[in-house]
Amino acid sequence: MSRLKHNNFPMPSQGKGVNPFRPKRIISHFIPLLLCAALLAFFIPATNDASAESSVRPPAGAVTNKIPSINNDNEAVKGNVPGHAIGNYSDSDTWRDIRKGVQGSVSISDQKSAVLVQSDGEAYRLMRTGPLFSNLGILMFATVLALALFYAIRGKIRVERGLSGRTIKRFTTIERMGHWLMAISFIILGLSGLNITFGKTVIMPIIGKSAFGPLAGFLKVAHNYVAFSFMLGLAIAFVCWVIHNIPDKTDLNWLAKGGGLFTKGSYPPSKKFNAGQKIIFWGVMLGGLSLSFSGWALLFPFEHTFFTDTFHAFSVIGIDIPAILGMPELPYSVIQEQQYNSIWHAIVAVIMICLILAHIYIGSIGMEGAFDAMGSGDVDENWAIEHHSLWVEEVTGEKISDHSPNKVQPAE
Amino acid sequence: MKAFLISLIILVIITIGVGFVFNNALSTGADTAYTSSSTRL
Repeated sequence: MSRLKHNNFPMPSQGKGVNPFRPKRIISHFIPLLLCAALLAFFIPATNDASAESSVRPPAGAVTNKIPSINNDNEAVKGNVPGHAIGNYSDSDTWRDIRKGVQGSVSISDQKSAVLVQSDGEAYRLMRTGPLFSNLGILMFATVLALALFYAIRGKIRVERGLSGRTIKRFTTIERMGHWLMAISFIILGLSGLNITFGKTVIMPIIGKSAFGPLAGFLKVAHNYVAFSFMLGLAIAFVCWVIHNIPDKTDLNWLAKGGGLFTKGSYPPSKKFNAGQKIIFWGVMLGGLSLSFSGWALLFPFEHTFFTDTFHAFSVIGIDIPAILGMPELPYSVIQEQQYNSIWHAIVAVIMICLILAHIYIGSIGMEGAFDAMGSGDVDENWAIEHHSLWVEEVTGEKISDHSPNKVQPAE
Repeated sequence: MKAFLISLIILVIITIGVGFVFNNALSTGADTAYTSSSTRL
């Protein structure tokens, strides 16, 4: 009653005439409007998350019509996205793909950064610090040990005829210059390269971090720059000696007799280079070439796809090297190429180091008179007859009279 | 020894020469490698 009075509506008892503003009619007109307002009030929060979150809080456990969002951590539960509104793809799937090395897109110039996680890098790291590190170390240690044992058992190989005092020109200045250019650069490259692989474990504990840092930095730069001298020396040696290092039937005889290395008085004849020297020559040439390619790719990173190209070339002739070696399928990313280059470079380098250790041994303390070939270039005639009798015949044009097996010596 | 010394001199010349020629190529600075000049925001 008080409310009607307040609205100034006349009471029914106040008159019986037609009154368009009667309360009953007013209510009947406003009811549909009120229903519409109620419906709007119900639906607007359901279609507007922000307003729902900020002003309307449904009771706990109530089912809402919210659209799920992948950015909302609370929505990705048990690998499922509620409602399937945007597909059943959860955050865990996203991170799994990232972990597998999926490539996204970036607008900076370094497109490699589009790969957030390069999981092959972890395999590379484990390989480098695990089997690669230990096996290459064991290989070098075993080589040094074998040479020491050989020296202890066999001793220095002497010129049995005794030095004659007469010499024969064995290598020209150009040949020796190419050899020493290759040799000096290889020693620098070998030591600086070993420091890259083993220095942190072997050298750093001895000299300390503060000394190892500058040393490693200097050796790394030296390794980069001296490599070009090695390549030049390799080219000179190849041009000078390739014609003399083509295998022939005398090599089979030399190999069958072990080069006379293990038996005193056994001297298989050979030409300018015996089979052992030819193995070293081709090992250095092919290994050096491979080191040059892999080293070039490491010097100028992410610009070459040598492994992909090489393996693809083999696959054309039916050899699936990745499958044989248990490597990932082709093609490889530029980052993988770098990792494989690094591993391959280390393996070939250490094999070559072992080969050269044997070469240095037999060319110095292991054999009398051998160093003269690369020292002065002139070798003693008797040494030449014992080591390279066929070459002496070729140079002098004279037939060696005592060409018995007991009078020809092994190789340097 | 003459050949050894010649090879040593050649090695030094090549090493220094390469240092001059390839220094920039062999040591790319972070400002170049990670430049944002072509970055699209």
